[in-house]
Amino acid sequence: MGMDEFEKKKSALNDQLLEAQLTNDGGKVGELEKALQELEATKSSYESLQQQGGKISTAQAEQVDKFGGDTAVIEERAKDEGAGQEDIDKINADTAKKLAEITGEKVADNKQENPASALEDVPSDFIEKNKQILESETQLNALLLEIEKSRNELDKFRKDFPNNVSAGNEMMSNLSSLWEKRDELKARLEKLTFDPQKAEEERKEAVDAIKEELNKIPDMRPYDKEAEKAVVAKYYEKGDNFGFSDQEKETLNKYLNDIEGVLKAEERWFGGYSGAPRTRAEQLGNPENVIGQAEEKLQDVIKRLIENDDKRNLRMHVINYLIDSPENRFSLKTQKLLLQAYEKLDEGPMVSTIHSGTGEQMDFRPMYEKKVAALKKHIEEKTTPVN
Amino acid sequence: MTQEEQAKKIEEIYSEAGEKLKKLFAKREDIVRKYIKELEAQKVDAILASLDLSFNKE
Repeated sequence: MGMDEFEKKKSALNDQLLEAQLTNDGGKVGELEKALQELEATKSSYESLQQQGGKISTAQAEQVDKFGGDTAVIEERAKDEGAGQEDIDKINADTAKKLAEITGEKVADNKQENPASALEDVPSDFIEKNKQILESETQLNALLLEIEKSRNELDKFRKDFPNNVSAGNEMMSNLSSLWEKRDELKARLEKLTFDPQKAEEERKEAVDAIKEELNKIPDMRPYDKEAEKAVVAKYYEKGDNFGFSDQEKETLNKYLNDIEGVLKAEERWFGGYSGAPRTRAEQLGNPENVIGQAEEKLQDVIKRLIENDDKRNLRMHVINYLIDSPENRFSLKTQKLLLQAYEKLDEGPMVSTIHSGTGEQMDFRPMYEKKVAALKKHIEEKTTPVN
Repeated sequence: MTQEEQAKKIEEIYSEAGEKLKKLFAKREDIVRKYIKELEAQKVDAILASLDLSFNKE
Protein backbone atom coordinates (compact mmCIF):
# COMPACT_ATOMS: atom_id res chain seq x y z
CA MET A 1 0.00 0.00 0.00
CA GLY A 2 1.45 3.34 -1.00
CA MET A 3 1.03 6.65 0.68
CA ASP A 4 -2.17 7.51 -1.20
CA GLU A 5 -3.96 4.41 -0.02
CA PHE A 6 -2.92 5.02 3.53
CA GLU A 7 -4.06 8.63 3.30
CA LYS A 8 -7.40 7.46 1.89
CA LYS A 9 -7.87 5.13 4.83
CA LYS A 10 -6.87 7.83 7.24
CA SER A 11 -9.20 10.26 5.52
CA ALA A 12 -12.12 7.82 5.81
CA LEU A 13 -11.44 7.43 9.51
CA ASN A 14 -11.24 11.20 9.85
CA ASP A 15 -14.65 11.50 8.16
CA GLN A 16 -16.08 9.07 10.67
CA LEU A 17 -14.42 11.00 13.45
CA LEU A 18 -15.99 14.22 12.20
CA GLU A 19 -19.40 12.55 11.99
CA ALA A 20 -19.03 11.22 15.52
CA GLN A 21 -18.03 14.66 16.72
CA LEU A 22 -21.06 16.22 15.00
CA THR A 23 -23.41 13.70 16.55
CA ASN A 24 -21.74 14.18 19.95
CA ASP A 25 -20.90 10.49 20.15
CA GLY A 26 -18.14 10.85 22.78
CA GLY A 27 -17.33 7.14 23.00
CA LYS A 28 -16.96 6.81 19.26
CA VAL A 29 -14.82 9.95 19.03
CA GLY A 30 -12.38 8.56 21.61
CA GLU A 31 -12.17 5.20 19.87
CA LEU A 32 -11.57 6.75 16.46
CA GLU A 33 -8.97 9.19 17.72
CA LYS A 34 -7.12 6.32 19.39
CA ALA A 35 -7.37 4.18 16.24
CA LEU A 36 -5.97 7.02 14.12
CA GLN A 37 -3.07 7.65 16.49
CA GLU A 38 -2.15 3.98 16.67
CA LEU A 39 -2.37 3.57 12.93
CA GLU A 40 -0.14 6.56 12.34
CA ALA A 41 2.39 5.49 14.97
CA THR A 42 2.68 1.90 13.76
CA LYS A 43 3.01 2.98 10.17
CA SER A 44 5.71 5.52 11.05
CA SER A 45 7.63 2.91 12.99
CA TYR A 46 7.57 0.49 10.07
CA GLU A 47 8.56 3.17 7.58
CA SER A 48 11.38 4.26 9.82
CA LEU A 49 12.75 0.73 9.76
CA GLN A 50 12.32 0.58 6.01
CA GLN A 51 14.38 3.74 5.75
CA GLN A 52 17.10 2.25 7.92
CA GLY A 53 17.19 -0.71 5.54
CA GLY A 54 19.68 -2.73 7.65
CA LYS A 55 22.53 -1.14 5.76
CA ILE A 56 26.12 -1.26 6.94
CA SER A 57 27.17 2.18 8.22
CA THR A 58 29.82 4.20 6.41
CA ALA A 59 32.16 3.96 9.42
CA GLN A 60 31.71 0.21 9.61
CA ALA A 61 32.32 -0.15 5.87
CA GLU A 62 35.49 1.91 6.29
CA GLN A 63 36.64 -0.33 9.11
CA VAL A 64 36.04 -3.45 7.06
CA ASP A 65 38.00 -1.89 4.24
CA LYS A 66 40.92 -0.80 6.43
CA PHE A 67 41.15 -4.21 8.05
CA GLY A 68 41.37 -5.73 4.60
CA GLY A 69 37.90 -7.28 4.67
CA ASP A 70 35.11 -7.27 2.15
CA THR A 71 31.57 -6.05 2.81
CA ALA A 72 30.36 -8.67 0.34
CA VAL A 73 31.22 -11.25 3.00
CA ILE A 74 28.72 -9.57 5.31
CA GLU A 75 25.94 -9.75 2.76
CA GLU A 76 26.82 -13.36 2.05
CA ARG A 77 26.66 -14.26 5.73
CA ALA A 78 23.43 -12.32 6.17
CA LYS A 79 21.97 -14.21 3.25
CA ASP A 80 22.99 -17.52 4.83
CA GLU A 81 21.28 -16.54 8.06
CA GLY A 82 18.06 -15.42 6.39
CA ALA A 83 18.84 -11.73 6.84
CA GLY A 84 19.94 -10.80 3.32
CA GLN A 85 18.65 -8.01 1.12
CA GLU A 86 16.31 -10.50 -0.53
CA ASP A 87 14.78 -11.29 2.86
CA ILE A 88 14.25 -7.58 3.53
CA ASP A 89 12.63 -7.14 0.13
CA LYS A 90 10.41 -10.13 0.78
CA ILE A 91 9.13 -8.70 4.07
CA ASN A 92 8.37 -5.39 2.37
CA ALA A 93 6.73 -7.10 -0.59
CA ASP A 94 4.63 -9.35 1.68
CA THR A 95 3.58 -6.32 3.69
CA ALA A 96 2.58 -4.40 0.58
CA LYS A 97 0.63 -7.42 -0.64
CA LYS A 98 -1.24 -7.86 2.62
CA LEU A 99 -2.08 -4.16 2.72
CA ALA A 100 -3.32 -4.29 -0.86
CA GLU A 101 -5.56 -7.23 0.01
CA ILE A 102 -7.24 -5.06 2.62
CA THR A 103 -8.00 -2.34 0.09
CA GLY A 104 -8.48 -4.68 -2.86
CA GLU A 105 -5.82 -2.98 -4.92
CA LYS A 106 -3.01 -4.51 -6.97
CA VAL A 107 0.60 -4.14 -6.02
CA ALA A 108 3.38 -3.49 -8.48
CA ASP A 109 6.24 -5.99 -8.47
CA ASN A 110 8.88 -3.34 -8.03
CA LYS A 111 10.31 -2.55 -4.64
CA GLN A 112 8.63 0.01 -2.44
CA GLU A 113 10.10 3.43 -2.20
CA ASN A 114 11.24 4.54 1.17
CA PRO A 115 9.43 7.59 2.50
CA ALA A 116 11.78 10.49 3.02
CA SER A 117 10.23 11.63 6.27
CA ALA A 118 11.09 8.50 8.20
CA LEU A 119 14.35 9.73 9.77
CA GLU A 120 12.37 12.27 11.78
CA ASP A 121 10.81 9.38 13.67
CA VAL A 122 14.10 7.95 14.93
CA PRO A 123 14.50 8.80 18.64
CA SER A 124 17.29 11.29 19.36
CA ASP A 125 18.94 9.14 22.06
CA PHE A 126 19.17 6.29 19.54
CA ILE A 127 20.94 8.59 17.08
CA GLU A 128 23.25 9.91 19.81
CA LYS A 129 24.21 6.44 21.00
CA ASN A 130 24.93 5.27 17.47
CA LYS A 131 26.98 8.37 16.89
CA GLN A 132 29.08 7.54 19.94
CA ILE A 133 29.48 3.95 18.78
CA LEU A 134 30.64 5.07 15.36
CA GLU A 135 33.08 7.56 16.90
CA SER A 136 34.52 4.90 19.20
CA GLU A 137 34.82 2.43 16.35
CA THR A 138 36.61 5.02 14.23
CA GLN A 139 38.95 5.92 17.11
CA LEU A 140 39.69 2.26 17.71
CA ASN A 141 40.49 1.77 14.09
CA ALA A 142 42.82 4.79 14.09
CA LEU A 143 44.49 3.55 17.25
CA LEU A 144 45.18 0.15 15.77
CA LEU A 145 46.80 1.75 12.77
CA GLU A 146 48.89 3.92 15.12
CA ILE A 147 49.93 0.82 17.05
CA GLU A 148 50.97 -0.86 13.85
CA LYS A 149 52.96 2.20 12.81
CA SER A 150 54.68 2.46 16.22
CA ARG A 151 55.50 -1.21 16.16
CA ASN A 152 57.14 -0.83 12.73
CA GLU A 153 59.13 2.16 13.96
CA LEU A 154 60.26 0.24 17.02
CA ASP A 155 61.25 -2.72 14.90
CA LYS A 156 63.27 -0.50 12.58
CA PHE A 157 64.88 1.38 15.47
CA ARG A 158 66.01 -1.83 17.14
CA LYS A 159 67.47 -3.02 13.90
CA ASP A 160 69.27 0.27 13.17
CA PHE A 161 70.38 1.00 16.75
CA PRO A 162 70.66 -2.34 18.53
CA ASN A 163 72.78 -0.84 21.33
CA ASN A 164 70.43 2.00 22.22
CA VAL A 165 68.41 -0.02 24.71
CA SER A 166 67.02 2.91 26.72
CA ALA A 167 65.48 4.63 23.70
CA GLY A 168 64.11 1.31 22.53
CA ASN A 169 62.57 0.73 25.91
CA GLU A 170 60.97 4.16 25.86
CA MET A 171 59.43 3.41 22.48
CA MET A 172 58.21 0.09 23.83
CA SER A 173 56.67 1.90 26.77
CA ASN A 174 54.83 4.24 24.40
CA LEU A 175 53.61 1.25 22.46
CA SER A 176 52.31 -0.31 25.68
CA SER A 177 50.42 2.90 26.45
CA LEU A 178 48.75 2.68 23.07
CA TRP A 179 47.69 -0.89 23.84
CA GLU A 180 46.23 0.27 27.14
CA LYS A 181 44.31 2.99 25.33
CA ARG A 182 43.03 0.40 22.95
CA ASP A 183 41.80 -1.77 25.83
CA GLU A 184 40.02 1.21 27.37
CA LEU A 185 38.40 2.10 24.09
CA LYS A 186 37.33 -1.46 23.48
CA ALA A 187 35.75 -1.61 26.92
CA ARG A 188 33.89 1.63 26.21
CA LEU A 189 32.68 0.32 22.89
CA GLU A 190 31.50 -2.92 24.43
CA LYS A 191 29.59 -0.94 27.04
CA LEU A 192 27.97 1.20 24.35
CA THR A 193 26.97 -1.73 22.20
CA PHE A 194 25.81 -3.87 25.09
CA ASP A 195 22.21 -4.89 24.59
CA PRO A 196 20.82 -6.66 27.68
CA GLN A 197 17.97 -8.24 25.75
CA LYS A 198 20.30 -9.54 23.08
CA ALA A 199 22.79 -10.70 25.69
CA GLU A 200 20.04 -12.60 27.47
CA GLU A 201 18.95 -14.20 24.19
CA GLU A 202 22.54 -15.15 23.40
CA ARG A 203 22.98 -16.52 26.89
CA LYS A 204 19.88 -18.68 26.54
CA GLU A 205 21.01 -19.89 23.14
CA ALA A 206 24.43 -20.73 24.55
CA VAL A 207 22.94 -22.61 27.48
CA ASP A 208 20.64 -24.55 25.14
CA ALA A 209 23.58 -25.41 22.90
CA ILE A 210 25.61 -26.53 25.89
CA LYS A 211 22.76 -28.64 27.22
CA GLU A 212 22.40 -30.23 23.81
CA GLU A 213 26.10 -31.08 23.79
CA LEU A 214 26.00 -32.43 27.29
CA ASN A 215 23.09 -34.63 26.29
CA LYS A 216 25.32 -36.18 23.65
CA ILE A 217 27.64 -37.58 26.31
CA PRO A 218 25.66 -40.78 26.87
CA ASP A 219 26.15 -41.56 23.19
CA MET A 220 29.92 -41.54 23.57
CA ARG A 221 30.34 -45.30 23.61
CA PRO A 222 32.71 -46.68 24.54
CA TYR A 223 33.45 -43.96 27.05
CA ASP A 224 35.77 -41.37 25.67
CA LYS A 225 36.97 -39.41 28.63
CA GLU A 226 38.91 -36.90 26.56
CA ALA A 227 35.76 -36.09 24.59
CA GLU A 228 33.81 -35.72 27.81
CA LYS A 229 36.40 -33.37 29.19
CA ALA A 230 36.34 -31.37 25.97
CA VAL A 231 32.60 -30.90 26.35
CA VAL A 232 33.02 -29.87 29.95
CA ALA A 233 35.74 -27.39 29.04
CA LYS A 234 33.52 -25.93 26.34
CA TYR A 235 30.72 -25.57 28.85
CA TYR A 236 33.00 -23.59 31.12
CA GLU A 237 34.40 -21.47 28.33
CA LYS A 238 30.99 -20.57 26.93
CA GLY A 239 29.64 -19.82 30.36
CA ASP A 240 32.46 -17.41 30.90
CA ASN A 241 32.09 -15.74 27.55
CA PHE A 242 28.39 -15.11 27.46
CA GLY A 243 27.99 -12.53 30.15
CA PHE A 244 26.67 -14.80 32.86
CA SER A 245 25.94 -13.15 36.18
CA ASP A 246 28.20 -13.83 39.19
CA GLN A 247 25.54 -16.12 40.61
CA GLU A 248 25.30 -18.05 37.33
CA LYS A 249 29.07 -18.27 37.09
CA GLU A 250 29.19 -19.65 40.60
CA THR A 251 26.59 -22.27 39.70
CA LEU A 252 28.48 -23.02 36.50
CA ASN A 253 31.75 -23.46 38.35
CA LYS A 254 30.12 -25.67 40.91
CA TYR A 255 28.63 -27.77 38.13
CA LEU A 256 31.99 -27.96 36.40
CA ASN A 257 33.66 -29.01 39.64
CA ASP A 258 30.96 -31.61 40.17
CA ILE A 259 31.45 -32.99 36.68
CA GLU A 260 35.20 -33.06 37.09
CA GLY A 261 34.77 -34.69 40.47
CA VAL A 262 32.55 -37.35 38.99
CA LEU A 263 34.94 -37.92 36.12
CA LYS A 264 37.76 -38.23 38.61
CA ALA A 265 35.71 -40.65 40.69
CA GLU A 266 34.94 -42.63 37.55
CA GLU A 267 38.57 -42.76 36.65
CA ARG A 268 39.50 -43.97 40.10
CA TRP A 269 36.68 -46.41 40.45
CA PHE A 270 36.67 -47.79 36.95
CA GLY A 271 40.32 -47.18 36.21
CA GLY A 272 41.71 -49.26 39.03
CA TYR A 273 43.20 -46.58 41.27
CA SER A 274 42.17 -48.46 44.38
CA GLY A 275 42.63 -51.84 42.84
CA ALA A 276 39.02 -52.28 41.70
CA PRO A 277 39.17 -54.36 38.52
CA ARG A 278 37.52 -53.15 35.37
CA THR A 279 35.22 -56.15 35.53
CA ARG A 280 33.72 -54.52 38.58
CA ALA A 281 32.72 -51.58 36.44
CA GLU A 282 31.10 -53.96 34.01
CA GLN A 283 29.22 -55.60 36.86
CA LEU A 284 27.88 -52.20 37.76
CA GLY A 285 26.60 -51.77 34.25
CA ASN A 286 27.14 -48.84 31.94
CA PRO A 287 25.64 -45.68 33.41
CA GLU A 288 23.06 -44.14 31.09
CA ASN A 289 24.40 -40.69 31.69
CA VAL A 290 27.98 -40.26 32.77
CA ILE A 291 27.37 -36.92 34.38
CA GLY A 292 25.38 -37.29 37.54
CA GLN A 293 24.63 -40.95 37.11
CA ALA A 294 28.24 -41.90 37.68
CA GLU A 295 27.95 -40.37 41.10
CA GLU A 296 24.65 -42.19 41.62
CA LYS A 297 26.45 -45.45 40.86
CA LEU A 298 29.08 -44.56 43.39
CA GLN A 299 26.32 -43.89 45.94
CA ASP A 300 24.79 -47.29 45.18
CA VAL A 301 28.13 -48.97 45.74
CA ILE A 302 28.71 -47.22 49.06
CA LYS A 303 25.15 -48.03 50.21
CA ARG A 304 25.52 -51.67 49.26
CA LEU A 305 28.87 -52.05 51.01
CA ILE A 306 27.46 -50.42 54.15
CA GLU A 307 24.35 -52.61 54.08
CA ASN A 308 26.47 -55.75 53.56
CA ASP A 309 28.82 -54.67 56.30
CA ASP A 310 31.59 -55.18 53.75
CA LYS A 311 34.26 -53.37 55.71
CA ARG A 312 37.08 -54.75 53.68
CA ASN A 313 35.87 -53.19 50.44
CA LEU A 314 34.75 -50.04 52.21
CA ARG A 315 38.25 -49.64 53.57
CA MET A 316 39.94 -50.60 50.33
CA HIS A 317 37.92 -48.51 47.94
CA VAL A 318 35.31 -46.11 49.19
CA ILE A 319 37.20 -44.72 52.12
CA ASN A 320 39.88 -43.43 49.80
CA TYR A 321 37.46 -40.78 48.63
CA LEU A 322 37.73 -39.22 52.07
CA ILE A 323 41.31 -38.25 51.43
CA ASP A 324 40.61 -35.94 48.53
CA SER A 325 38.31 -33.42 50.20
CA PRO A 326 34.96 -34.87 49.06
CA GLU A 327 33.19 -31.72 50.25
CA ASN A 328 34.63 -29.98 47.20
CA ARG A 329 33.82 -32.69 44.68
CA PHE A 330 30.67 -34.58 45.51
CA SER A 331 27.06 -33.84 46.30
CA LEU A 332 25.96 -33.65 49.90
CA LYS A 333 24.23 -37.00 49.53
CA THR A 334 27.50 -38.70 48.62
CA GLN A 335 29.34 -36.81 51.35
CA LYS A 336 26.84 -38.10 53.93
CA LEU A 337 27.26 -41.65 52.66
CA LEU A 338 31.04 -41.36 52.93
CA LEU A 339 30.60 -40.22 56.50
CA GLN A 340 28.38 -43.23 57.21
CA ALA A 341 31.05 -45.45 55.64
CA TYR A 342 33.70 -43.98 57.91
CA GLU A 343 31.50 -44.48 60.98
CA LYS A 344 31.13 -48.11 59.97
CA LEU A 345 34.92 -48.49 59.75
CA ASP A 346 35.46 -46.58 62.94
CA GLU A 347 34.15 -49.62 64.81
CA GLY A 348 37.43 -51.37 64.11
CA PRO A 349 41.09 -50.33 63.90
CA MET A 350 41.88 -48.09 60.98
CA VAL A 351 44.92 -50.12 60.01
CA SER A 352 44.57 -51.34 56.52
CA THR A 353 47.76 -50.73 54.65
CA ILE A 354 51.28 -51.96 55.03
CA HIS A 355 53.78 -49.23 54.35
CA SER A 356 55.52 -50.19 51.15
CA GLY A 357 58.90 -48.78 52.14
CA THR A 358 59.45 -50.27 55.55
CA GLY A 359 56.90 -53.06 55.77
CA GLU A 360 55.66 -51.36 58.91
CA GLN A 361 51.88 -51.16 59.49
CA MET A 362 50.56 -47.59 59.45
CA ASP A 363 47.61 -46.29 61.44
CA PHE A 364 45.71 -43.88 59.22
CA ARG A 365 43.21 -42.93 61.90
CA PRO A 366 44.67 -39.41 62.61
CA MET A 367 44.64 -38.52 58.95
CA TYR A 368 41.09 -39.78 58.38
CA GLU A 369 39.84 -38.12 61.52
CA LYS A 370 41.13 -34.79 60.32
CA LYS A 371 39.39 -35.26 56.96
CA VAL A 372 36.18 -36.49 58.56
CA ALA A 373 36.08 -33.51 60.92
CA ALA A 374 36.28 -31.15 57.94
CA LEU A 375 33.60 -33.11 56.13
CA LYS A 376 31.27 -33.14 59.13
CA LYS A 377 31.67 -29.42 59.59
CA HIS A 378 30.91 -28.82 55.92
CA ILE A 379 27.79 -31.01 56.01
CA GLU A 380 26.54 -29.31 59.17
CA GLU A 381 26.99 -25.92 57.56
CA LYS A 382 25.28 -26.88 54.35
CA THR A 383 22.36 -29.06 55.25
CA THR A 384 20.05 -30.73 57.69
CA PRO A 385 20.98 -34.13 59.17
CA VAL A 386 21.04 -37.30 57.06
CA ASN A 387 17.60 -38.52 56.00
CA MET B 1 -15.07 -5.00 6.78
CA THR B 2 -15.74 -1.64 8.38
CA GLN B 3 -13.31 1.25 8.12
CA GLU B 4 -12.31 0.74 11.75
CA GLU B 5 -11.70 -2.96 11.24
CA GLN B 6 -9.64 -2.18 8.16
CA ALA B 7 -7.61 0.36 10.09
CA LYS B 8 -7.03 -2.17 12.85
CA LYS B 9 -5.96 -4.79 10.32
CA ILE B 10 -3.60 -2.34 8.62
CA GLU B 11 -2.07 -1.51 11.95
CA GLU B 12 -1.51 -5.20 12.65
CA ILE B 13 0.18 -5.69 9.28
CA TYR B 14 2.50 -2.73 9.82
CA SER B 15 3.25 -3.89 13.33
CA GLU B 16 4.08 -7.45 12.26
CA ALA B 17 6.28 -6.23 9.41
CA GLY B 18 8.03 -3.80 11.76
CA GLU B 19 8.84 -6.57 14.20
CA LYS B 20 10.18 -8.78 11.42
CA LEU B 21 12.38 -5.98 10.10
CA LYS B 22 13.67 -5.18 13.59
CA LYS B 23 14.75 -8.76 14.17
CA LEU B 24 16.30 -9.02 10.75
CA PHE B 25 18.23 -5.76 11.13
CA ALA B 26 19.44 -6.80 14.56
CA LYS B 27 20.77 -9.99 13.01
CA ARG B 28 22.49 -8.02 10.25
CA GLU B 29 24.04 -5.63 12.77
CA ASP B 30 25.29 -8.59 14.73
CA ILE B 31 26.83 -10.12 11.61
CA VAL B 32 28.60 -6.84 10.79
CA ARG B 33 30.00 -6.45 14.30
CA LYS B 34 31.17 -10.04 14.46
CA TYR B 35 32.87 -9.72 11.09
CA ILE B 36 34.65 -6.52 12.12
CA LYS B 37 35.73 -8.19 15.35
CA GLU B 38 37.11 -11.12 13.39
CA LEU B 39 39.04 -8.78 11.11
CA GLU B 40 40.27 -6.82 14.08
CA ALA B 41 41.41 -10.00 15.83
CA GLN B 42 43.30 -11.03 12.70
CA LYS B 43 44.95 -7.64 12.62
CA VAL B 44 45.87 -7.83 16.30
CA ASP B 45 47.22 -11.35 15.87
CA ALA B 46 49.34 -10.19 12.98
CA ILE B 47 50.70 -7.31 15.05
CA LEU B 48 51.37 -9.56 18.03
CA ALA B 49 53.06 -12.15 15.86
CA SER B 50 55.18 -9.43 14.37
CA LEU B 51 56.05 -8.12 17.85
CA ASP B 52 57.09 -11.57 18.95
CA LEU B 53 59.33 -11.81 15.96
CA SER B 54 60.97 -8.51 16.70
CA PHE B 55 61.58 -9.52 20.36
CA ASN B 56 63.03 -12.82 19.34
CA LYS B 57 65.50 -11.10 17.10
CA GLU B 58 67.11 -9.40 20.11
